[in-house]
Amino acid sequence: MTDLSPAGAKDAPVTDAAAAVTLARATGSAPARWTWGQIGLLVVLAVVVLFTVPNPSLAIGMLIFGLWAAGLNLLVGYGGLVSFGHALPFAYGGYAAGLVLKNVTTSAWVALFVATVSMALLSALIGAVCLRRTEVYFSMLTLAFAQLGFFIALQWNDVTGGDDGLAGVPVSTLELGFTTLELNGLRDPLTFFLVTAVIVLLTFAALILFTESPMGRVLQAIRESEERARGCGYNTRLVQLVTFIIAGAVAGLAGGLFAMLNNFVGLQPYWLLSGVVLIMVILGGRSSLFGPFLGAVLYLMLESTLSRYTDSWQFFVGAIFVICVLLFPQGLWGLLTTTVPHLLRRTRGAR
Amino acid sequence: MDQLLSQLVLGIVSGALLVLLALGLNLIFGLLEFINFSHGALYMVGAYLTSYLAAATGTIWLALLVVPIAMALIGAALERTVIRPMYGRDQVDALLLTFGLTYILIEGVRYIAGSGGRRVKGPELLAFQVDLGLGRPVPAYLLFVVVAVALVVGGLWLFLQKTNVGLIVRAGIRDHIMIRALGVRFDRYRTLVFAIGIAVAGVAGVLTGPITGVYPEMGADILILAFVVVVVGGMGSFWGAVVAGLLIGVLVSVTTLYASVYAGIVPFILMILVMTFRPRGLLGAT
Amino acid sequence: MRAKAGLLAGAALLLAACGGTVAGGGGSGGGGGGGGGEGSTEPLKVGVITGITGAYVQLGEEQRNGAELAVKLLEEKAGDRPIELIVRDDQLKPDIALREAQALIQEEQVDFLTGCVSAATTLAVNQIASQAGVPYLGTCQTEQLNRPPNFNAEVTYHLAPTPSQGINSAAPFICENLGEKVFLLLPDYAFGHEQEAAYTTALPEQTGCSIVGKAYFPLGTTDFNPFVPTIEGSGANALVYGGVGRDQVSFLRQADQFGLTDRIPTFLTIEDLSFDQELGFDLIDGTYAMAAFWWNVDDENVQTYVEAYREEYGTPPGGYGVYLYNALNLIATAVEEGSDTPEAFREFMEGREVSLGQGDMTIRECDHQALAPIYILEGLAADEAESRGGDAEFGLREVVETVPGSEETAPTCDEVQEEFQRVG
Repeated sequence: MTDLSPAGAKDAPVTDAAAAVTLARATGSAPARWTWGQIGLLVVLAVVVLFTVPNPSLAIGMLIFGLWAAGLNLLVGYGGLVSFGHALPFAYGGYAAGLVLKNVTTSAWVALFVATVSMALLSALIGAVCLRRTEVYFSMLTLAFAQLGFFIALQWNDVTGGDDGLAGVPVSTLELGFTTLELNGLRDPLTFFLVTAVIVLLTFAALILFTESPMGRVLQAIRESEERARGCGYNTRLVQLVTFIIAGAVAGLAGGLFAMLNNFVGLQPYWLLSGVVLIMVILGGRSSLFGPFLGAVLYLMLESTLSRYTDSWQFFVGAIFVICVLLFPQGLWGLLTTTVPHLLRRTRGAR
Repeated sequence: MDQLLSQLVLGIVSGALLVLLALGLNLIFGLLEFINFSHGALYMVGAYLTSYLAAATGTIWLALLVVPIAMALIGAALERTVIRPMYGRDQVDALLLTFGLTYILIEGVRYIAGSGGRRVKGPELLAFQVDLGLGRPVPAYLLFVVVAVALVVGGLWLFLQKTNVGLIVRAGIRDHIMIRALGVRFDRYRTLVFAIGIAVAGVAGVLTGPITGVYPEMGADILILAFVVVVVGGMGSFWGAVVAGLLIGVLVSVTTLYASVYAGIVPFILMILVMTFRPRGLLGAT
Repeated sequence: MRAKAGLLAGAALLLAACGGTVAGGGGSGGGGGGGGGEGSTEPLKVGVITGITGAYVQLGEEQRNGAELAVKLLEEKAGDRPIELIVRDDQLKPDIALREAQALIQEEQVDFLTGCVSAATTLAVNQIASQAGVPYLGTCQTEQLNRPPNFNAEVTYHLAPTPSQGINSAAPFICENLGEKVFLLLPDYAFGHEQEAAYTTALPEQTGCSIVGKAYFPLGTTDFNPFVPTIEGSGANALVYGGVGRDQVSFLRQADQFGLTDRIPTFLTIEDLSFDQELGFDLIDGTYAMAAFWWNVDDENVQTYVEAYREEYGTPPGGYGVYLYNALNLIATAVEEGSDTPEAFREFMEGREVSLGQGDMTIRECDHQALAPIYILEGLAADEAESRGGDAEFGLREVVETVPGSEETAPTCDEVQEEFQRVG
């Protein structure tokens, strides 16, 4: 379990049967048949968003935040590593892509490549420090690095634009060999949406591939018991580090896309945004990759609709959190995987 | 040199309030294994109660007595209703719950009291300055804050060390399964400890009012710092929280003198260093 | 299978027909300025983006009040066109401001955008307005909005003063009346850095005046006690404080406990009635401030606004609502005169001289900066306030000096041109 308590404080003897039950419940974790079905669900969700969300920029934002949350869930749900600082890779990716577009080239490929790869490298360094500790200490270290990042972005005015933000990021172009697309979120949101959807889907599929890979399985084993996994001869630290790098790279990619969407990179208090993405994950449910995606969509929808009706919209968002956590312990994903098959069975039975 | 000493004294004042918040967080985390992200919002509620009581009575003395009791009751009620279902569940769920509570409390207070902050008048009795021989006088109220915090910390320590209840709480922090096996009604102690933690945050709320005033978001930034204090001091370590709180207060204060821009980042750098070289915190059990 | 696909396509078309989604209404983005022409009765849509939640809630609420009041006084009409006001919360976050600006343009097809309480959000909104060709009237104090690379002459206007405009107006007063050895205590974000630049130029230009020390405080500081010894140790005999809102309230409260404001006269770069109210008026005694608006100013147009505001909301207005009040009035007049396209609006605005809620004001041509008076205010104790003809309930700052808006105080158009050329 993603246990934040001081290590060893409450190591109770657990029977193997009980462990197996916990393992089954925690890992999934979605029944196996759901695993690849998540891609189908994501396609459906993207289509629904495309046709129902009235604000194009919000619709595209949902895809981007969804990807960001899904990537974070590799750490939180699959790895049991709760990062309090996942705003850092997202913001970094934004600055990296924004600076490339502004100063080097308007090629979206180059900007996203730089954002993703350089964030992966940076994640390797940060992860090497943070992963020396586990549980709540890990969380606090990630928070500290996010805070450091915020401080640097604020002070390094000449490069980042400080708290005024990095303005004037040019519209990017996407070379596809047979044609070149202009990615202008304002004038041509449909193209932007479709391109984002394709990138997000491919990345999402790659994430699922990772969770199904041997390394992904070891990651989940480490979450259940690091000692046991180490006993089996796995290099647990390396597996966690690779996960940390992947989650960071995905957030960097999402941040890069977000900068391209807005043509602007803004600076806002570090831990608030880290908290928001973590909430999306928990709200959506930690036992899948699609759950956090759904959590992100729901959160953004709540935020943007409620705030039009009342100044106290955060009150209602808070109330929804409390109700969700009390009624649906497995998050939206849990709700989905328990009610949908149930409903299907009923309709089938009725027939 | 005088200036440095002045900074030191003022740093201790800032640190003292952090200590109160960190101690509550630490106790709750120790016994309940529950990360209470709504701690800052509850501290804010205590400060708001103070502002109304102080406006009605003209002084904070009554609030100093009433608010901790009221906060303890609020804490107990919260524990019995929404927090209890969280035991045994993944600790990340507690994050969502307490984030939600924080939103509810902040927006609720804003709805009732308005977005603008409220002022709390410091006691007339202490509206003078004391010359500590540092060249510059210090407001008496700030020294009173340090004394009050010292009394609360001392009282809490005696409670944990000298009473039977305190003994069970300490034992529970070490190993609650064993305590339960011994037939202790453990859930009552959880309620009690949560109530105490919130009451102590309430005291911090009372004392802060006259210094910064009260406003809906006041708990947010200080909460993160309080977490840093807990980790730097060592989770579960009573004196660790005290020492780390004062240390961070003083460090920030001294940084202000020489390089004020870095004052905000210093606690986090300290945390990274401590985590690297003393993984269990300054006074944490190894 | 084919039937299914057909069904799906049909459903998609149906949904798209409802309009406004990415798939449906996307293509119309950027067409916001359209609609109307003289004699049209299409609603005039004005989008207001401001911080209804976040650290400066009172300023955001006040901006909304100012806009709504203006619309009410205009009887919800600009000529024959009904005015429709759409207010959105930016939470003080630039990415939310971007999203809301895009939504207002794409979904609501607004004709004008206005509002902001922080520099970061104003730049974000301006960027979207600029891409879409929708006029944007910025309403918060920043040097950046109408400077390269942000300024777009076709859409950008700045109704609030720039920090340097205020500081140049106030510098003589600070040095002559408060003290010649000045300490600067400024917030560590763009607004503070802009102030530093302006003060370090303006103060030493006064004879005998110098800056003896400065310190930055981080975003969100409420504990100012550690700064007190630093300030006193610097040997300053005047203090300039540049923080806004909660920072300011906390600072003045703590400075008072140390008796700092009694010993060293304190000057506030930004003042707002809502901060004074939160602080308690007894503590503003002995502080000085500058402001682009003060409710007690003796001017007919200012008082029209103040009285209407008091009648509507029960208190005198603070400093931020007036920009929105002015913005709505300017927009309505322009539309009434038929200047409802961005090009015509630009022509209407450039060089315009009006007298609205801030008194006499000029929108100069070179950078669309509003030049309005800057008031130097002295904080008074309640008893003193009453004897000087003030209002004990809303405390008092008395206007001790009025500096009319002019080329002299803002960076001159020549300087602005130079900057534009340098950037290219």
